[in-house]
Amino acid sequence: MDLNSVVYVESVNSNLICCVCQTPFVDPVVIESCGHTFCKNCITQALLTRSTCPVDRSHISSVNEFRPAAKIIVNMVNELLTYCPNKNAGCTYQGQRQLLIYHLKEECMFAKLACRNEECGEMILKKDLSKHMESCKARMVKCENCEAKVQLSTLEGHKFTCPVKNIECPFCHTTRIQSEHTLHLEECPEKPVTCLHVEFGCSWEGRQCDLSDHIVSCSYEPLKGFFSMYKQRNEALEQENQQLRTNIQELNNTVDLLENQVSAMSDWLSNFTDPKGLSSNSEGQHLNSSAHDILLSGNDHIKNEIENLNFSLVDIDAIMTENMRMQEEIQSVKNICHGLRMQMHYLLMEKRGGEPSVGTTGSVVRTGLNGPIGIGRTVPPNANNSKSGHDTSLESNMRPPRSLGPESPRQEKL
Amino acid sequence: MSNALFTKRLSKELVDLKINPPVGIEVTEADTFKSWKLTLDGVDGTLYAGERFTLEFRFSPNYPMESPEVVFTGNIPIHPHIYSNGHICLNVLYNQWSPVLSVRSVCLSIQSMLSSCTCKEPPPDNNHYVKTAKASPKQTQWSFHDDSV
Repeated sequence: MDLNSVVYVESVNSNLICCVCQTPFVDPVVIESCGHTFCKNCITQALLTRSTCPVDRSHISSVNEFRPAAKIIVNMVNELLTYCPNKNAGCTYQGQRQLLIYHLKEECMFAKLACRNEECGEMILKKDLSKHMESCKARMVKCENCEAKVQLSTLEGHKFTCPVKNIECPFCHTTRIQSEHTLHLEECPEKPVTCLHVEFGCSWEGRQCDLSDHIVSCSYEPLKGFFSMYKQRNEALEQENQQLRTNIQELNNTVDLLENQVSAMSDWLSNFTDPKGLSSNSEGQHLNSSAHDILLSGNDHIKNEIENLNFSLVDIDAIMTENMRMQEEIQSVKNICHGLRMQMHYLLMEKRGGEPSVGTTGSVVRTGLNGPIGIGRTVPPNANNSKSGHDTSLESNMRPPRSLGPESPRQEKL
Repeated sequence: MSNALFTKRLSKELVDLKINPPVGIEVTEADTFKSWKLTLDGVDGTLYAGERFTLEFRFSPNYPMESPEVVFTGNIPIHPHIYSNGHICLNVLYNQWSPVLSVRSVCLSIQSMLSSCTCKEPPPDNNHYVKTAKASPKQTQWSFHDDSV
């Protein structure tokens, strides 16, 4: 409980009032250096903001500079007369502040307590608690049959399942406990039953104890096997029928869907075949026919254009093939040139007679990289040779690649 | 806990100011614990006799550990330590605040500051300060030098 908020019976001597909270000291402490007294909580909070005494602003270096106030001060504040905090609820208690906690815990009839039944959850004044417990919705009650303790709210449900409750049989009027009642109902001789063959048409009704006598004389009994066979067959047929129906339903759905699609399609197509027909209905037939003519001529025109475009496409195709072929030829000529270049280089080297054959490969790579064509490929000389042999016939048709021109002088410089 | 102290202390101060008001000081508006308004009458026999001023107190949840924001509103007294935007140059409102002080003691300090004034004139740097000051006087770096007025 918070002693800072209690109400005092008499006005309190101002010397017993904490300057910070302005209520009588709670747990008073004294600052060693300056001797001023505060509630322990008040001075602790004040020092968080500023480490000076709130009264004379003298510096306080640490919390250790407090000591508990003199016993006489503590006693004086503890013995101050207070009202009970439940005064507004009706408690008339007045007593020393130090006894207040005991009063609230043990004596005060106006303190609010939680109902002892957890499910209830209500807060009840202590004085009303015993009365509440008698009428609490969540209190425990005894079942009159099985003596078990059951919560009031579940009592009704319990009555149906209570194993010890006596139940009278509605047919033979004997009584027994609930757990045996269901079993008894199965075999009660007085229970009204119908013939076992009621579904096939026997109209006999009577007591369960007479059933076996009837069965002996029942005209449906000999036909039992026949009936059950047909019943089974009938059921199978019904099942099949059901399945077929679902199939038909599914097919119908599909047909509907397709019809919708077809009609949408035809709507869409009508935009192209008869764009004016819809709008010109009101304008008359002659308009319609002239529009038709215009459309026809337009159509012819478009057909011609499409044909022309087709021809152009064929031409372009031919050109493309030609182009591809040309590219291939150019490539092969390039390869030949490269081969020749290397042969020439090799010959030049040999003529100088200096370098060994291993060095040639290195220089071949270099020429390849330095050449303005920028072909980085290093084709082995023999592979090149075979290619050049194959391609010589093309050489006469082709102009040498443009880039070869400026490269030749470089080769000579080497 | 701090918040409990804040509300308890302010409600206590309010009851005290209403039951036992100091001469010339009256609470006019105290609907919340955020801000109060009080009127301050100039004391008879001083330069401000017959004048009535309004003080606004704004409390932070840390009151009384932190000082309230105190400014004049409306009719602002002409005084060497009171700026024309209502800000008051008074050390107990800033670095010399102590939780022992209260609304009542602040009002009395201001009343005494007005009463001891000998010449009604604005602070010498009034124009510059009013132009540059923040809304809250607590954001100003004050320097206190004059103990006479």
